Amino acid sequence: MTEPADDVALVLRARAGDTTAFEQLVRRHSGPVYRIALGITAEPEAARDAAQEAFIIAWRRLREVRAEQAFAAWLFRVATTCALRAARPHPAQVDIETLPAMSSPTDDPQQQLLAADLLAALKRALKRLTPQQRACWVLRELEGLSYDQIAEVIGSRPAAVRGRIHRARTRLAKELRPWR
Amino acid sequence: MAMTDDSELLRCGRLRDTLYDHLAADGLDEHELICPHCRRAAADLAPVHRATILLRNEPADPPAGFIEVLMARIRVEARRRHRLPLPADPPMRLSISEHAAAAVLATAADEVFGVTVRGCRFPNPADPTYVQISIALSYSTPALETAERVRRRIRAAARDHLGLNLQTIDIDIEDLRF
Repeated sequence: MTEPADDVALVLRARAGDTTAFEQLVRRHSGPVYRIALGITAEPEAARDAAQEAFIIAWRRLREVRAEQAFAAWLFRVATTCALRAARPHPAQVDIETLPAMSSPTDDPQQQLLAADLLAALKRALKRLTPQQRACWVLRELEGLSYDQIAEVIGSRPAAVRGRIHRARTRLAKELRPWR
Repeated sequence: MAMTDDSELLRCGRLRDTLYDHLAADGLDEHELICPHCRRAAADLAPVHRATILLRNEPADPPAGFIEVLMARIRVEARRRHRLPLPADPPMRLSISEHAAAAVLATAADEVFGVTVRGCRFPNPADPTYVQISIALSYSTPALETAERVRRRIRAAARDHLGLNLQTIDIDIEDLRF
C-alpha cells in the first residue's frame, strides 16, 4: 500500500472543489475499493453500491485526510466501513451460476473444473465467516495489507486482526477439507 | 493454554500463522517438512492457499459505467457545494450555491414555449455573469428566435431573482423533439 507521490496533490485539488482531480483518484483506486467491497459483501450489486458510497463519503470528507496520512489507507477504511454496513451476517448461499468467469493458469479441462469447484467452495465458505473476519481476510489475502495496516483500516488492534484472520483460515480449512 | 486443532499455536510450538506464511511463500522450513503437527496443519491449509490464489487472480473490476455514474453524482454534489458571489453592500457578503442559481435560470428558460432545459451551469467559479445552458427544442420551434427568447427570459430572471447582470449566455441546442 505505497502512496503514489501525487495522491496528496490530487487530494488538495479535490478539496478545493476540482472534480477532475477527484476523478483521477477514483480511477486510480476504484479497483481495490471495489475488490474490498466485493470480498466483504460477496454480492456484486451490494459491492457496487458500497464502493460508490465510499467514494461519495470520501468526496464529502476529504478535509479529514491528514497530510501525513496515506489517502489509500483512509479510503480503504471508508470502503471497509461501507461494505461491512452492506454485508449481511447470514446471507443466502452463493448462486454458482452468477459467479464471474474464472481465469485458470492451466489449459487442462479436468484441472480447470477442479479449480472452478475449489474457487466456488471458497466463495461459499467466505460467506459463512462473520463480516469482520471476512473484512480482515480480504484486506490481508487479496490486498496484501499487514496486520498493522488492517488494524488501522478497521479501527482495531493488530492482535485482534491476527485472531480474526486465524479464525477465518481455520474455518475455511474446515470447509475446504474435501480438496486436501 | 489448551491447544486444540484450531489453536493459533501448534503442539510443536510453531504459530499456525507463520506456517501459513511459509506455505504461501512456497518455503516450508526443515522443521515444518518433518514435524507431524506442522505437516498436518499444512495439509489442512494447502487448499485454502490454492483457492486464495485462484480468487486473487480472478478479475474483479468495477462494473461498466461505475466511474461515469459516480462522477455524475459527485459533480451534482460539487455544484451544490460551490458558491457564487452575489451583489451586496459591503461589509455584507451574499452568496448562492451554483446549483440553486442554475435552478432559478433553468426554471425561467423552461417556461419558454417549445424549450426543455437539459442543463445549466456557471463554468467560471469566479464569474457569476457567465452562464451556459443546454436545451432541447420542439421541432416546429424556430431556433434563433427561441434562443433569443431564452436569453431574454434568463437575463430577466437573473436580474429580478438574483440581482445579477448577466454578460454572457451561451446556449447549446443539444436535441430536437418531434
